[in-house]
Amino acid sequence: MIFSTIRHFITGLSLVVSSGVWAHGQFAVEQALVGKASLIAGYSHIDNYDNVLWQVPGVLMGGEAFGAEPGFILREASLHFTLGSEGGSFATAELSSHGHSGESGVELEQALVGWFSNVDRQAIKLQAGLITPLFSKAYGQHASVAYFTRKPLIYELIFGGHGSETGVNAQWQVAVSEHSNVYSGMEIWKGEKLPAKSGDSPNAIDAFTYWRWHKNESFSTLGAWYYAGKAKQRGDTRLDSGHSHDVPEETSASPDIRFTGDTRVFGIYADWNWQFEADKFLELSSEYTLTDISGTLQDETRQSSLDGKHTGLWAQAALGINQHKVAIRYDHVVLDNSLNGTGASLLADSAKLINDHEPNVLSLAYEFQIDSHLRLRLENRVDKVLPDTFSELMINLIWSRPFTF
Amino acid sequence: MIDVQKVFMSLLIIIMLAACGESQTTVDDGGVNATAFDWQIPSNMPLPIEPSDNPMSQAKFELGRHLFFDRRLSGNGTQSCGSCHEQALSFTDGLAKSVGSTGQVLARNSQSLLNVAYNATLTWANFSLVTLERQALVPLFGEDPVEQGITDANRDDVLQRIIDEPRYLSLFEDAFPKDLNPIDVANVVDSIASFVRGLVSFDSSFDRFFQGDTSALSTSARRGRTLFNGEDLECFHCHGGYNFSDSTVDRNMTFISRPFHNTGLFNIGGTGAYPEDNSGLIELTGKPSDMGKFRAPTLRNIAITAPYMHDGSMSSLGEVIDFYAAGGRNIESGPNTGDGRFSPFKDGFISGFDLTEQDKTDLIVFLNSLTDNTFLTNPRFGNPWEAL
Repeated sequence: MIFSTIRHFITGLSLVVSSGVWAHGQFAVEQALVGKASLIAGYSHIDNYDNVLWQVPGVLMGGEAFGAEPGFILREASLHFTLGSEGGSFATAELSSHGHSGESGVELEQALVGWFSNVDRQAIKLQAGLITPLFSKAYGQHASVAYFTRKPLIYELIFGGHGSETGVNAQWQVAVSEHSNVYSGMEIWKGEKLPAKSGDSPNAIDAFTYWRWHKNESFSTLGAWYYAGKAKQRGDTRLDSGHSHDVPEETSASPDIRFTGDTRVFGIYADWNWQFEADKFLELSSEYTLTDISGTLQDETRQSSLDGKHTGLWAQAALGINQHKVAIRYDHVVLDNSLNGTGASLLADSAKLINDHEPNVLSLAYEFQIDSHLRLRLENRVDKVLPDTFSELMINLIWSRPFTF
Repeated sequence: MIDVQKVFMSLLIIIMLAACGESQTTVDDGGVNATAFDWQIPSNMPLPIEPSDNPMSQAKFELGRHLFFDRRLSGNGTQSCGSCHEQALSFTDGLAKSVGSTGQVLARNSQSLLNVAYNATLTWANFSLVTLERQALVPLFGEDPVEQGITDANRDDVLQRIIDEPRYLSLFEDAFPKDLNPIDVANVVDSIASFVRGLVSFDSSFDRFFQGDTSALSTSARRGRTLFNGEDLECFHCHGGYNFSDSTVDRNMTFISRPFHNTGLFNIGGTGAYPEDNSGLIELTGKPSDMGKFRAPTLRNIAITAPYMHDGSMSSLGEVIDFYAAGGRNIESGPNTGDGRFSPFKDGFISGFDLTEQDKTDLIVFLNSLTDNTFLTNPRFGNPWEAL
């Protein structure tokens, strides 16, 4: 699988002008104990809210994908530590809580050890442990540092929202000119997170490269990534014991339906940031993803093949002027599924795969920097993810603070 | 140096154009759901299997309905299929044990014919009976026990009675248009099988709930449903799925199982034995481990089909629930003395459970929600001779 993945990755890269980068957080590791704490909490008002499990027709959902919820919610709390040593080794731990449906248990988001080296114009970093994926900026990004509280839609649908898991990765960053560098990496996962599930380990892999260029006040990034995951008897575990969310059972896809097969996702990312004055910027960013699903769908008695091509696009614009930021994002997903076999029609119905709707969301955000650690964020979402449209209004307070011991 | 910003914007436009497309789901079942018969079942329910040598047709179904309710189709002209399978009782007879046309009392309880087309095996404990065409031969021609009592000696007489009935000629000609002399035993059997196969029911309160009418089940019934599907009571393991039986088959299935279960009704002398005339699957297989094993029947219309169990030994749903709560039946006196709770052949799911009176009520309310009253009165399934 690894060689196949590398071949696909190289093929994918040839489709774009390979360049561009960004680093997920700071690439270098300080020789100290540093940390960051963040918290985001607020209130959400939703028109036409119905307490149903977020089951988007046309997608085999799961993981931690949950729809909009009204009321007061502790959306996210995170405490992140990294301890670096003189020899380049380091350890990171992160505790987090992602509240939904009244549940907000603390979980270990990251627990890893690593090694970092910086020689001349190159840097390399190796990590192993419980890791947040790096292949995509939007997937691993916390709501407290993004413009919007919810991730781009495609990450909810295909990857089940947030998630870290056990794996290893290697990252390289190379300065290729005075104005640009390339940041690349590869990650190998145990593969227990959506869309992968329980099989022979390792069960998922990804690779990415980003080229970043800057000149004067203009910064651009172009990048591409590829993810491949295998699933064996993967079901939707969102209604499992302890995770019931008080959702009426009849609104969900049958929990007995299992998917066995491959999911391959190819993504292209680009952004452009123009710092036209001090404390004033305009930023455009977008990502296109193509998900290829191929496998078998079955329940206790029925079976069918499933082939899916899911196309995702999000495009975002943000303007910052002093302590004010406004942003707009549009998410659009096209879901194309094909089922073949004697059980196809019933499985398609039970798995909620019958669909001709194109989920989309228009999000608007305004953020006010109250002080250096505290921000107020107002968001409005026109949610057309399900065939019924609803509007969500959110007000959130965001607190974040780095610290060094 | 290339203009990075122009490249960037161009790429964005390309990406957005590439994202265009339409959501769609295409389904190809290979034609397995093709049928010439109007089954009249909800679209989200699978169709039963139709034998390739006896495909369903409305004409055969209609002929089969006439034959099913015709008393002339028995050796002595006193009993029809419908004598032991009355529509108002969901095609059972209300007796603990059925009585054949000659007065012989059968060993087993008459089963409902509702959704029998979905049974992976037919009758109580016969792994080899998997088509209605073969099963229909048993009550028509069986010698022990005698049910309708057609024998080699009286078969021509019985057939002559059918030929003499003026309504039959056109019914047979419509059902079997390619046959020059369509009134024969094989066509009688195929027609009855077609009618019985068409006895489908999906119009209970539970069905309406399942199809999205959340008001169709009361709060009590919903609680009962939760209990039914819970791991404490374990009911759903043997009575799960859309037909409330783990011995279910339809044309969309790939994996088919034909299980039989010992529920701990008997444990004669502590050996696990059942009464000799009614010991279950072991009668055919001879395997000791098959002692007392019977097929789990559907629970649809269960409120209508008392008495219960393969021997009709329980008169109410409350009694049945108490039996499962105890994890078996303890018979303290008589020839069948023995504690079924400790039967060595008992199914592992029959382990007993605690139930409050409210729980029991809720469970019964849920079981009552499986009643399809339309099925009990639908003229489509009714006795055509009564209308004369």
